[in-house]
Amino acid sequence: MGSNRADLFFAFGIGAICLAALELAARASLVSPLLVASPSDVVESIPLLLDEGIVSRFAETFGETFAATAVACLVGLPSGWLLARSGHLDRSFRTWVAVIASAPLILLYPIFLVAFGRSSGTIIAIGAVSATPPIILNVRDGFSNIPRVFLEVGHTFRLSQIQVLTKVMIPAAIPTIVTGVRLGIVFALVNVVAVEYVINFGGVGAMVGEMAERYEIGAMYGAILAIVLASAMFYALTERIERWLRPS
Amino acid sequence: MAASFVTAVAGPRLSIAATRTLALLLILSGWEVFAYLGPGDGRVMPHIWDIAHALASLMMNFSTYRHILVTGAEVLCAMAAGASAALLLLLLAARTPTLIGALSVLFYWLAPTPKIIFFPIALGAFGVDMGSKIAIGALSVFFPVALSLFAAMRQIKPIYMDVGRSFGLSGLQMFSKIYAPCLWGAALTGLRLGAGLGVIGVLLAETKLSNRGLGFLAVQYYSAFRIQDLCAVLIVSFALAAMVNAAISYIESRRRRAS
Repeated sequence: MGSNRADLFFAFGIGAICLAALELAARASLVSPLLVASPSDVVESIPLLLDEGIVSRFAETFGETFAATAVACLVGLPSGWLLARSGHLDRSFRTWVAVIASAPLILLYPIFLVAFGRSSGTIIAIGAVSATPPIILNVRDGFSNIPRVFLEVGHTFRLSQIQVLTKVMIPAAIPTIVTGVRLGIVFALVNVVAVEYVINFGGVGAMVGEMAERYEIGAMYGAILAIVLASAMFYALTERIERWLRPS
Repeated sequence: MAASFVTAVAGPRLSIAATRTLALLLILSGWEVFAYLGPGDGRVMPHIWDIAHALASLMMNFSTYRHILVTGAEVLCAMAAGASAALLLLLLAARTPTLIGALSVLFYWLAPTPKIIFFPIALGAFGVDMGSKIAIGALSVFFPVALSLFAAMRQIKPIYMDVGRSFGLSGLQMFSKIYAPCLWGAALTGLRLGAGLGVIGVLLAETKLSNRGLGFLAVQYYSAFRIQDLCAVLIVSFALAAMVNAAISYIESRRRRAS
């Protein structure tokens, strides 16, 4: 994103002002403590969140996210490559993949609950299903848009098909493939957390529901805030990795 | 290589329609094989005709339309609320470019958060009825619309606003004559992206805690282990999402043709 340091500074400023206003409103009893937790309540709830194992819950959520992305890569990388290699398959199925990518796939979770039960299997399956279409589309784009001259140079050097793939095509397509994998990871994380919350099982998503059911409002807000921060940091980290891999 | 093999087998001899039909038949056959061989004698993975029968029964049942109407109304209200909130915030920040920049950064980082985790707060604020579902849907719609609008706002040439001010336009006139024509396209794009997320938000919230709507119906059938009915409800939900998307795409394409 084309934001400069001043925008970032002001964004932090707006965040700080909102938190201060919330604290004042809570202390002045302008908002119900059963509905809104003040920032100081959230800070006080940190020991409870640690006791409830928020760190291991995050590890579980990220583990499921990476497992889902790995499954999506296993399906998405070869499928995208096939679409790029065969014009006929591309014309036949690219629209299907695009339609699936825009479909509300997370709503399939009851079907996966029937198949895998209330377990990590359901969460990983939903994450994988949502992460696969963006990976397929980006891998397809990456291999389809390789400049023709790169391939011709490969043929001039009399490289075998395998050598053309490993020494020319994959390095040229890597930046777009990484974009697809990054989108896949983000989609998987969002869906994993959402399904954890909805089926009340597993990592940090389920923790929000548990805290809400126990009326631990401060801890519930703490868990939500942790998810928001983790999502944003995860998004920033993957963006940085993508930029690092993309040739300047 | 594998691709050449596939092309050799399916490529030049089959038309695209034939390839798609073949793929569809393969998928349906695969489903049927699992339905026959899988556990539960077609109860865990129902036969296709059972799903078709359940879908027909569902569509002939009058109460289904009540659930569709509830979900549809929640989605529409969520879209209206989310888009209005984004537009209102934009208008409030319109005269301060620094604020526009800072809010854009905030929205950019908050957008990837799964909005359903705010459902306990929405439940506390609006109760278990339609309000909490509309709130989650609106939150889902808000971010794509706000991101599109704020990005478009930053691209409006300053000279347009200078011209407006030198003509002495009021705030309302600035909005209708300068901002609205520049932002209309971005608003529709954001709304199209947000609509899909809004449908997901509303339906997920309904599956979590509700007493009506398609999400509620899906969970009811899941709890009663009526999987063919569950599949039928999911088909209707996907159709609803596709219809919302198609409607906004249609408006978007008409606007493009008109401009």
